Amino acid sequence: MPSVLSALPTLDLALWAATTLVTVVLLCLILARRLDQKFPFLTAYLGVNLLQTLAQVVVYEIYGIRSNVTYAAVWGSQAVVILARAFATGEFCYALLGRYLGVWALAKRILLLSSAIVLGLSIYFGKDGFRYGVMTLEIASEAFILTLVVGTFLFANYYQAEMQRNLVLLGIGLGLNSCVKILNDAVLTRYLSGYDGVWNEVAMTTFAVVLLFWIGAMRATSTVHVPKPELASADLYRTLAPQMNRRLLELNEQLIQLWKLEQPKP
Amino acid sequence: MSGAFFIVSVGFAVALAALLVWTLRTAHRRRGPGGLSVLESAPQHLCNMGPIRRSQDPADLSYVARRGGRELAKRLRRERKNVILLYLSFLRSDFEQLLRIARVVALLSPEISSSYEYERLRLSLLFRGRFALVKLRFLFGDAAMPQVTSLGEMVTSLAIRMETAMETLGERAALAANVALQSER
Repeated sequence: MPSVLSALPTLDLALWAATTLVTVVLLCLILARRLDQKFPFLTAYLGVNLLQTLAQVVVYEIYGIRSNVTYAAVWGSQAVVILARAFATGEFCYALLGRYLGVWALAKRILLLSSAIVLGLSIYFGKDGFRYGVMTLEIASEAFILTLVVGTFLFANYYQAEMQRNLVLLGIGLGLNSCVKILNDAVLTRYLSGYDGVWNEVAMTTFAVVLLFWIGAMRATSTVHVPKPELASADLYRTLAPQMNRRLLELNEQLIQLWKLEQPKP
Repeated sequence: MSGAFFIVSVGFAVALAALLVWTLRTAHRRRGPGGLSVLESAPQHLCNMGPIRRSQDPADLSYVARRGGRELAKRLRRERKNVILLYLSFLRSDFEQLLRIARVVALLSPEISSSYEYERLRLSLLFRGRFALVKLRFLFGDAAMPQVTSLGEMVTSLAIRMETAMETLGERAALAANVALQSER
């Protein structure tokens, strides 16, 4: 065992081993069920995550935990991991709303705009010197991802779009991960001295839970090919429009009558 | 990190987590027949206004007050108010049903207009707000209710918007109805 791992506290080592193992299991599940074609970005993200773990061990082993090179390498790789997760989040958004062409066209613009605003605001107001720079960037990136996830669910809920179980689990995992990361980083940067020992454990425990959600999501994903939406006749709209308008007008009429009913008596 | 940024970060994360939970709970509660089946369950309470109006005739109230006494008239007034309040809540559910239909139509359309969608969202929020006001006024027995008029105007405006949107959609629309309904089953 590399000396850097044997130097870790038992709990950290156990959590590290557990998350790595569960990530491998999830990746194997995805590949075995050929779901990598359905979720290429999620698969890539998990692969990048595993590579980061391996790279971290090597870097820690060569340069030690406190070196500047280690700091730069670890946070640099973290940027790549977050970027990969952002793409996986985009994939989730598309999977949930993509087949509703009109709603998707509207949703992607609004979601990207609102997430970009959140990202920009977080970076602008969170800048606090070099010391916490990476933390601010991480909080901002996680806020970006969380906004995308929650916004997508809001759109799906508002339009009553179908939410398949696998996508719900995938979204909960992405949202939970980002949410806890924001809280964890915020608490760490505020109460560094008392929290630095717990920070890593909270992050790893959360990630393990998130991986379990994603395993559930992949197990619930159907491998049966879903045909593309069939186009229906435009007559449906033409018939529907006057019906709906008539009913809305009737409703209006009823409300006006209700008002007349309560007019002050002469 | 400044205290303000810390509070905002924590507040943001907690608020979005709450929003996520609320959204998923709402979606879960709504499970059941969805998709285009919503179009088959059209509003049902609009035709009841005639009897409701007749039940509110002020002549009845004065007759009861004359023949049955003040207590009976008071009771009748209270019960009539309950009838109106019930009817209002049914009207509200009819309105919600129409909005649901509009959403399903938008959902299954290959093209939607952001301005129409925004307008409908705005109208529905206004409608709900004013509706609550109207209900309160009924509840406390205030006879002068200009809010009801604006409520009616809103519904008309929604109808016009829907008509324009539907005309546009009607030309180019391609419903994903079959797949949407199949997968929901």
